[in-house]
Amino acid sequence: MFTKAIKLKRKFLAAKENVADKVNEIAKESGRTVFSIVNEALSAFIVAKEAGRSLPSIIEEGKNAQLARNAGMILVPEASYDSLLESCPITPRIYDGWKSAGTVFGKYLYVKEIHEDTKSVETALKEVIGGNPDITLSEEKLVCISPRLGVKQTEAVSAFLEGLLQSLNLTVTAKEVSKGIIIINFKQEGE
Amino acid sequence: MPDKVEKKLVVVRSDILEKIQEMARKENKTLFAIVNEILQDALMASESRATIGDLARFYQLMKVEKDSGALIIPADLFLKLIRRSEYNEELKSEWFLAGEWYGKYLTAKFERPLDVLPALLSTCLWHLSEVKVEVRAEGKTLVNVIAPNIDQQVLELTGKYLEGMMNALGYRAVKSDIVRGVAILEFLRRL
Repeated sequence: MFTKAIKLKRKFLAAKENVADKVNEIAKESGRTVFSIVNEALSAFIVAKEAGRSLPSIIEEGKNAQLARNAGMILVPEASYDSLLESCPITPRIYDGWKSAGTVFGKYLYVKEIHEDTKSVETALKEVIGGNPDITLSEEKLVCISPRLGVKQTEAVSAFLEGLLQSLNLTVTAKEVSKGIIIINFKQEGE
Repeated sequence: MPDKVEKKLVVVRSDILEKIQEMARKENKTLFAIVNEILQDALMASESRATIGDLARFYQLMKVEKDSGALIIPADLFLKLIRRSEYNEELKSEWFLAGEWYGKYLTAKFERPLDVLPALLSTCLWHLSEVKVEVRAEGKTLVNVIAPNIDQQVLELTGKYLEGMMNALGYRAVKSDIVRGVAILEFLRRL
């Protein structure tokens, strides 16, 4: 049997010296070739552009999904989750469970040192809250809008957010929850 | 007079370079500028101990999942909901149907869904330690799951989900052996 080796054509490309040196350094540290790292980076850029996105935005999204995975979350089919939620009343115990899940996630953001960057927290929350929500976090208010969230899902998410804020040493002063809309006012603890 | 930028040459695959050149033209940027931007983004990704390629792949697979309506939720909460709900045939059938829908979604999205399945399942069913999809001769496909730390009910529901998915891809289950932490599913292509 004959096998035919596919020879990849190569070309040279100019890069800033300091950037090329850094790539070279990383290649040495990770036991890879500069060739593979550069190809991988350029291919990732192509993936991003073909999806109509920027490279930093898909890097951010990839990181956030990994963050959720490492923080003990799982991916479940929305329909199955909805039917589970519908079949269970949101008892204080379930509500507390959501709240403590938010606390854990907040602590995880803290450990990862991204809790102080409002934009990063917003992006991470967008990733872990279903229904492609619009999330705005300011100094004293957290707003989450997602018309796709059902009544019970909204309640669950509000408990999650409350737990998250508390874990970041913020005291909830007011909360308004209606289907698909959550507004939570808070203040720094001790203020 | 602007400082002279020191440059270095790096080697790259010519097919990838051609695509980047085309994208640079569309964005009205020089190849040099766009390549430096990309490499700097790649260096940023490596600071978080992830490669840009891994993050881009993760993003792509997660996008397929999220577009299919998957939600990220806290694992312990999900388990609580399952324990509180009535674990019966109806619930299993719902998971089968959710899997079936997912299988149809994959069929609509990919020309050869079975080819992307191993990467999709092992990346996105991250509550499982290992998922192996093996396409064998005579229309036989095996899906083996190892998940020693997972609740038996969740594993059974995952099995139903996979059965539903394979059903939509044209396979019927001929064996479903689910014991603590391990699921061995065997499918045969329908004629």
